[in-house]
Amino acid sequence: MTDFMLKTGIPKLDESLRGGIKEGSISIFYSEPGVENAEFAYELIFSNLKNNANVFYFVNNKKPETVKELMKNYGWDTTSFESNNKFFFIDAYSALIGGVSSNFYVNNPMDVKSINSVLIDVIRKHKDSIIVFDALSSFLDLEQEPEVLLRYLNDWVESSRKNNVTLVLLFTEWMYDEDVINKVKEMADFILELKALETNVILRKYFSVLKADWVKNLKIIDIPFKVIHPGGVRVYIPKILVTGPYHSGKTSFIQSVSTKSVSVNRQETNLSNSETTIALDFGHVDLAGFAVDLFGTPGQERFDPILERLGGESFGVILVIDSTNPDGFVRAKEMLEKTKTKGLPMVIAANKADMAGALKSERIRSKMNLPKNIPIVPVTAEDPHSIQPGKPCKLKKKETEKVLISLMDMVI
Amino acid sequence: MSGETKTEKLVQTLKDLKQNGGISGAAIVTKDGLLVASELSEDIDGETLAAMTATMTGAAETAMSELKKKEIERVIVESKDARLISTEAGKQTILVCMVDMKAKLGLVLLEMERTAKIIEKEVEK
Repeated sequence: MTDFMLKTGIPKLDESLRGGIKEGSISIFYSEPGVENAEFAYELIFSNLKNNANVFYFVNNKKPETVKELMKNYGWDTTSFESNNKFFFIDAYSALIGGVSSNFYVNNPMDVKSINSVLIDVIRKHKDSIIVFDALSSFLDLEQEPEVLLRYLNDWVESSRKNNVTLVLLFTEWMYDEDVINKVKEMADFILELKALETNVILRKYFSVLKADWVKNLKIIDIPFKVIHPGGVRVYIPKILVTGPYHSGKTSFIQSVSTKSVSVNRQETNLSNSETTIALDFGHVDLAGFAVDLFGTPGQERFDPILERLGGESFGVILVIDSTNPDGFVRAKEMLEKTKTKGLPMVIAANKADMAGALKSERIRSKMNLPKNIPIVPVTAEDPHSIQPGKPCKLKKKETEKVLISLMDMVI
Repeated sequence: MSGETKTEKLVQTLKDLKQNGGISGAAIVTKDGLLVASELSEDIDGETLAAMTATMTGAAETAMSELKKKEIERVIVESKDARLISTEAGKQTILVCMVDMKAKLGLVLLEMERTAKIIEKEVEK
């Protein structure tokens, strides 16, 4: 029998987990204070509600309506799933302030026995469902001996395993006894760690799979992410440099692939109607679970003094070349030197690949003396009739996205 | 009728501007970063200054328009010992000046504005 995998809603995470979270497993989304963890649960919930799963959301630190609002901000509305009896809140909070709104509620949220009676009942009666427990940290804050709390937690874990319930525990690491933390971690089959690291004054958030019992030879890698409204969790690449010779199509590339972009272009003095980048192009891309920011350089040599600045802190490079103009290849390589990006993951976007005189990828590879592991992706204009010489034009979206996705595979 | 070329006239305009105390250098550059005319000391590379003036002015214009505000009047860059001030001088050109810190800023800005108008007329003749 093969295990059934629940998609997390985050493609890169599913990849690390060889398909997703194993049904009936125990997960902890373990975060540092200030780093989101509930958003990862929301992704999981919506990805599985779409697949007709039954989901219970246990909440003990805010009103269910508040959670609902938070989800809505990301573009996820639970209303229809609630009315179709697919999504339920287990309200372990509202009784504290009077008035409960859910079918499932805890009479006395301060009392572990009261919590247990509701939760254990749900686990037993709703086999194969998903339960998100928000938050384990608040539960451990109850005025009770930690051993007692852990014993109850262990009961829920055991009962979930027996009933094929997928239990997801949200945990924020405030000041807890190390012994307690270790015991909690031991109960889990899967630990998703969420942390912030400061590099060069910039605070970046990362997720990594610390443990996943069903994954053989797990490699622990830190994957940068950010949470966007609306949208949710995205693998985040803060800087990809787009460079290449004059009039190879850097601006066209950025404008075509980006969800949103700005360009600092000016009309050229010498050529009528032609435009050139004088500072940079900047584009946000939201694609295939990735959020990427692109920085495009000017191509003309007089702007070379800013190349190093623009290239700094890049995660990877897209080198745009004009396939019809091999004379520019030397300049292309020079720009890699000047942006100080040699050695970073790189993809060649071979622009104008359908035009007369365009070199085929392998010719470009040999002329530029590029190693095999650098992908060369041909890109072309969406509509050849709309091309105006010297002006940015719309490139085929699929091709530009292929360039970016090839690079993402190398960056992470 | 004077036999001066356009460039000579522009250089003269910059020389006149430099008569004002505190302006140590001036140049006219195109918005795409090419040098049109300059009055700079020998050790300054006019071509690079022209390109970077276009870069900083263009980036500043875009930053402001992203804020949905009106067109910029000028860009002022300050270091410990000098200011670099750029302002539009016609549709295609920018006037850029190096100004000592002790110069009276208000006066310099007025003179630059006046000079920018002269340049605009001359360039777009």
